[in-house]
Amino acid sequence: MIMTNVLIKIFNDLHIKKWKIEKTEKNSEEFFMIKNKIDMTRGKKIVSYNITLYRDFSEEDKKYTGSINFEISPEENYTDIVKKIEDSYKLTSGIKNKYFPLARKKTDSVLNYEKTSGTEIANKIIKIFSDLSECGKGYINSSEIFINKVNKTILNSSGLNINFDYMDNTVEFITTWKDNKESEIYSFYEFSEFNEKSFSEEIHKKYKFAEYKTKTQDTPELKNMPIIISGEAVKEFFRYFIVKSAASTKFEGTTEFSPGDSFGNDKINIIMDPDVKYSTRSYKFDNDGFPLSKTVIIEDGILKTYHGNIKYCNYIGSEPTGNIGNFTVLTGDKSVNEFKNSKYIELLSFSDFQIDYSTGDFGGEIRLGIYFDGEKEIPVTGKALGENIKNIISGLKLSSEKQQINNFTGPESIIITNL
Amino acid sequence: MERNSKGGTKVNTKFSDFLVSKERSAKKLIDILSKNFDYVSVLGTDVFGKVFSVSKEETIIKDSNWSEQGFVIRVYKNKRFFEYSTNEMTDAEETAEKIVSLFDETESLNMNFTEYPQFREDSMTETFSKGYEKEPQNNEHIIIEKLTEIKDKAFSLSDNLISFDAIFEWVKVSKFFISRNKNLKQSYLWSQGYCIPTVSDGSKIKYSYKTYSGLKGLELIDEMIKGTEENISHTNSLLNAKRIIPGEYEIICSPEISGLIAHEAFGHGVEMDMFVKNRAKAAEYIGKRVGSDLVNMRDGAKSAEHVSSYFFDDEGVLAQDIKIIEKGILLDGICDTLSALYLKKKPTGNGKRQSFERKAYTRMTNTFFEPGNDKLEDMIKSVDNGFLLIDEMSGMEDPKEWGIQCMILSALKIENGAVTDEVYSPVILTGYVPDVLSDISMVSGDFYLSGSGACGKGYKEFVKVSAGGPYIKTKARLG
Repeated sequence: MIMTNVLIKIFNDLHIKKWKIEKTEKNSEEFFMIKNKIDMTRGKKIVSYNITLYRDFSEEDKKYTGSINFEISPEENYTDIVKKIEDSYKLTSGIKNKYFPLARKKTDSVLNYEKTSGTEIANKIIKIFSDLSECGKGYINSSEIFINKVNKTILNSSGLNINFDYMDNTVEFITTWKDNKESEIYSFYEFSEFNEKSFSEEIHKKYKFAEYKTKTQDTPELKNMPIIISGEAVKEFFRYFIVKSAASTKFEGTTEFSPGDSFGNDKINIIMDPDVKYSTRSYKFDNDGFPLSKTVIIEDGILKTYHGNIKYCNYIGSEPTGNIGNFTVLTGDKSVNEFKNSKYIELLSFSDFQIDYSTGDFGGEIRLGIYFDGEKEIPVTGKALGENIKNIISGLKLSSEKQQINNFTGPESIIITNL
Repeated sequence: MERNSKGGTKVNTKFSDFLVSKERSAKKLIDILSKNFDYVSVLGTDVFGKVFSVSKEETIIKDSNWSEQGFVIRVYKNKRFFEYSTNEMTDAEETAEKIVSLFDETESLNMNFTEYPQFREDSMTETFSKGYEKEPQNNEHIIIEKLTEIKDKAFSLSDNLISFDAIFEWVKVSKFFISRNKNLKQSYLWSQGYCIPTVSDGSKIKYSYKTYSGLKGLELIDEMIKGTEENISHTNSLLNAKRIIPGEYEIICSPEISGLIAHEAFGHGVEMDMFVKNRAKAAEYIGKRVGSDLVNMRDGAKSAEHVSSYFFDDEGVLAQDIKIIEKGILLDGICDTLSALYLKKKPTGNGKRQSFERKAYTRMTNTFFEPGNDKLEDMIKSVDNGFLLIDEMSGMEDPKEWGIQCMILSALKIENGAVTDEVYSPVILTGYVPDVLSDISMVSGDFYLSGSGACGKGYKEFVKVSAGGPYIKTKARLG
C-alpha cells in the first residue's frame, strides 16, 4: 500500500479530521573536487513524509487551532507510525493558538525544470571549471557541486493534492590568486536551471576579486565619501524590508511598519515573484499548497501589504499571499558610475555581511573594497562597516545596474551618501 | 552506572530500536558490496528530538531540525571513495545494485581522481551510552507548562517587553558504525534552550538571547527559569546602548566570547581538510608560536562533557582529546579519516556530518581555551579604558588569511579599573588571529562551555559544537 494512503487511513481510523502531508523525494549527485581532480563523488536518494495534524476547537465563541508537526521515515513500521500519530495528535489538545484554515482543494501537477540528468549538468560545470581552472596567476582551489532533483507532493484534508518538481542546486568554489601573496575568495552559487554564461562570468568576477585581494592596503576611515556596497551584501541588505513586511513579524510584534507606512525612501519598490528563472525558490505553491502569484509589497517606499503563509496572515487578519521565495527590488535610474566621479569606496566582499532584522543594525568586516582617492583606485581590506538602516535610508541610492543572486533580483549596488 | 549531581542514578539513553532492526540488513549489504569493493562501511543514524516554543500568542511543537533517520554507505575501490546516502535499507540487494551502478557511472566521467591508499581499521565491537537526569520524552505537558511559566514571568517583569520566546529542544542521538572490522553503537541525549526577549521604548526595538545547553534532559528547563530576571534586565539596558567609536581597545572577553574567538580564530584554521586543499595558514605554523605563553587550547569530543561529546565520529573513529595550542605554540590540527589518509596522519575523531545526507568533513567538537590563574576582578582592575565583551551573535572564519570577525551583541565600558553601566551594542570585533592571541595577557580560572548554536563550514554543513573557556584579556579592534 502506498505510504500516503497508509497515513490517510490511520488519520481516518483515529478520527483526525484536519491534516496535511508533504512527501518529498530527493535524488542527488554530488561531486567534490580539489583543483582538477575529483576527490569524492556521492549519490543520494531520500524520501520523507512531513506530517502536520490540526485540532480545531472553540471556547467562549472563539475558534482555536492546535497543531503539531513531525516526520515519518519510509521504513518506520506500521505500529510505530500509528503510535507516533496517536501520541502527537493528543498533544494538539494542549495547544491553544488562533484558528486558521487549510489551503483549498486543488489538484495540479507542475514541472519546474527541463528533465536533464544531474550528471549532464555536473559535466557542464566540471567542464567550465576545467576550462577556467587557471586564469593568469589565479586557479580554482577546490569546488563542491550538489545537483538536487526534488519531487514534492502536498495533500491535505480539504482535498488538496498537488505534485511538482524543482531543482535546488549548489556550487561552492574557491578562487585563489597567487602573486606576492596568496589570497582566496569563497563563492556559494545556487541555481535551478543552469546558466553557463552567468556561471562563467561569476568565476571571472571572483578571479578579479582574488587578484585585488593580493594587492590590498588598509581600508581608510569611512567618512566624507559615498559608500557603495555591491554584490551579495545588497541582497542581504534588502532582506530587512522582506522581514519587516512579513505577517509573522507583525504577529510577533517586532515590526513597526503597517500597510500605508513609509520606509523613508520613495525609491524602494519590492515585488515578491514566485516565478523567477534560474531561482531555486521558484514554486507555484508554497508548503501549505497555497497557489502563489506576483505580489507588490513595497511601492514608492510605502508598505502595501504584509506577506506570508495562511497561518500568519490569518493570525493578523491579512489576506494570505503564501510563502513566496523570490523577491525583486526595482533598480534605480542612475548608473553606479555616476557616483564614482570623486572620492568613494566600493565594498565588494565582507567576511559575513549581516543585518539585524529587528533593529536595522547592519555591517561586517570588510574583506575587499576599492577605494578611489580622487586619482587612482586602490584595493583595500580590514576595518568594519557598522550602521543602522534608519540612519542612512533617506540618502540611499539604487544603481541602475542589475544583478540576480538566486532568488534575489535587484540593483547591483546601493550607494550610501549620508553615513 | 552514571550518577547525577546529587548522587542519584542517571537515566540511560536507550539505543534506537529502529537501528537494531536494521543491523542485519546493514551487515548483509556489507557482505554483498564486499564482493565488488575493497572496503565497505555503513553509518546508521536515528536522531530524534522535539522543539517546544512558547511565545506571547503561540505555542509550537515540532520535530527537532537535528532529527534524522538514515544510512551512509561508504565504499572504496580503484584508490577512490564513493558514498551513498539513503533512508531505505530493507532491500540490501537493490541498494547494493544502485551503489555499484552509481560508482561505475562516475568512473565514466573521464576525470582524474584523488588517489587514496588502502586503509586498515582496528577490530572493535563496543556499545556506548551516556545518561541524563530527567526524561524529556513523553513529558511534553510539563515542558509547555514550564516554558509558559518563563514567558509569563518575563512579561510580568517589564512593560517594555513586546515579544518573548521561550524555546526548549531535546535530541536523542543513536548511531551505529559497521564495517568488516568494526561494530560500534552509541546513544546519548543533549538539550538546549533559548529565552529571547524583544523590548521597545516606542522608538527603538532591541532584543537579546540567553542560551542554555548540555548533555542534559528536562533539568535544563530549571536553569532557564532561574535566568529570566537577569535576561530581561539586560535586554532593557540595550535600549540605551551606544555605538563604539571604532578603534583598538583593551578587552576582556566573557567565556562565551573567548569560545567564539577559539572557535573562529583557531578552530576552523586547524581543520585539516583545509590543509589538504592548501587553504589554511595554520599548516605553515605547526610547531611555531601563534599566541602568548598563556594560550592553551583544546578540541575533542573527549575534551569536555558537552553537546559534541560523542563516543565515535561519523566515520567510526573513537573520540579523542586534542591539544591544539600549548603555551602559545601550535601543536597540531584536527582531522577526519580521508584527510588523515591523504596527509598520512592519524584521524582525530573529528569526521562529522550535518546528517546522514551529507559528506563528512573535519569539524570541531568542544573547542576551548584552558583556564589560567588570574581572577576576573584583577583583570578588570588592570584595564584603564576598554570593554567587557558579554554575549555573542555570530562569527566568521578566514583560515587562509587568519582574519577574524566576531559579531557581539553587547559590551560594557571599563573605565579606570571598574566596569561601568554604559552599554554598547552591537559591536564588531576584528583582527589578525596571531595578534589577538599574542596580546592575551591575563586568563581567569573560570571555565564555561556553551553549545546552543550550530557551526557551518562556509555557508553550509551545520553541526553541533560547543565552545568556551575562561575570561581572557587581550587587545582587538572594535567597531
